[in-house]
Amino acid sequence: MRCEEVREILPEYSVGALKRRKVRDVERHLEICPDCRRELAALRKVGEMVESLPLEKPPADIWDSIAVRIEAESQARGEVLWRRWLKPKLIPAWATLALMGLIAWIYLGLIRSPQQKTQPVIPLELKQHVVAAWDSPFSDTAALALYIGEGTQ
Amino acid sequence: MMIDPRTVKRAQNGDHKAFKRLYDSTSLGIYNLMLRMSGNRETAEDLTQEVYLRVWRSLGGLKSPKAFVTWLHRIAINVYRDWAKSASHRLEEMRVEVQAQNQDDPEDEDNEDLDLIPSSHPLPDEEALRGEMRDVIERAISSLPEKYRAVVIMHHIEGLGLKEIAKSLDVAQGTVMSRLARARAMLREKLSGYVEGD
Repeated sequence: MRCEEVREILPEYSVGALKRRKVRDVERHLEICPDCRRELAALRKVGEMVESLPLEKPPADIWDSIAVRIEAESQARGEVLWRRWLKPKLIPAWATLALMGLIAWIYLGLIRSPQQKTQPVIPLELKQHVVAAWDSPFSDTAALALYIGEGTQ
Repeated sequence: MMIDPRTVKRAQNGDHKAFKRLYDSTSLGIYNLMLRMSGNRETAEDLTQEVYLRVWRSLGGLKSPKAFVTWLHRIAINVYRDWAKSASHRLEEMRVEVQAQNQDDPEDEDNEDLDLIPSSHPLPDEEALRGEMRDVIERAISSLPEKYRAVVIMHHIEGLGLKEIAKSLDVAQGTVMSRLARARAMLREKLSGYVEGD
């Protein structure tokens, strides 16, 4: 390879962007050419100079400003969500839903109540006994008491 | 740059503290990217703020928390490009050009307002590199076309890998390498008086 050709691709070589075959050609030339070696050293030096630049610390108030903004945006997002659900046109729907819920609660409360009233069951023998003793109600006070007791439960 | 995907997930769920941790881990690189891309501290601060606000608003759309760093850099580059396109930036560029021209004149009072990176503002770690030399390198970088400047900053200053840069810029890895090579050739030319050669 001639110097002009090598100089053309030397930047690619210096960053490792050349294909293997080209790398071999460049390296063969570099072995015999001190000028191209100097040029390669200069290219590498440029990389080192850029890398030697210090990183500058960001001022603390950048985060302070960001924190204020994201806090405000988070709050606004929360409010927007509430407002979306409490739109005036949605109020009838919410009222209907609440009414349905109330009705369902009352209904379920009634049918599931453990205090549900049941009709007293009076044994047939007791009824017959009371009928048989209709003209003398106090002949069997125990039976009468049982009958009245069953009826009042 | 390693970021814990669990921290990203927590931030996605609205955890402000997790988001602060992400900011702490990445803001040094992003601020310096914005600083070198825009060439102005005040602008870099505004752009960095805008980057993280966009990140916060669109975190929910990030499917893979592991890809946070490349996704963040993609947003940063987009924020920079939006700014570069804006009309206000055109005016800012004109102001910067005028100030840069006036900087050579020591009697010009306006020089005191100049806030370009290669200015007389003292910078941390300035001892590590002589001020004059540093200014020369900064100027050389800021004079590169945007696509070359971005890869140089991301690779040589931020220390991102070629793969990460390729994903951030949405280009092939080979493209990143050839841009780096072209950028190096341009910088070599601009810095010819400071590096040995023929």
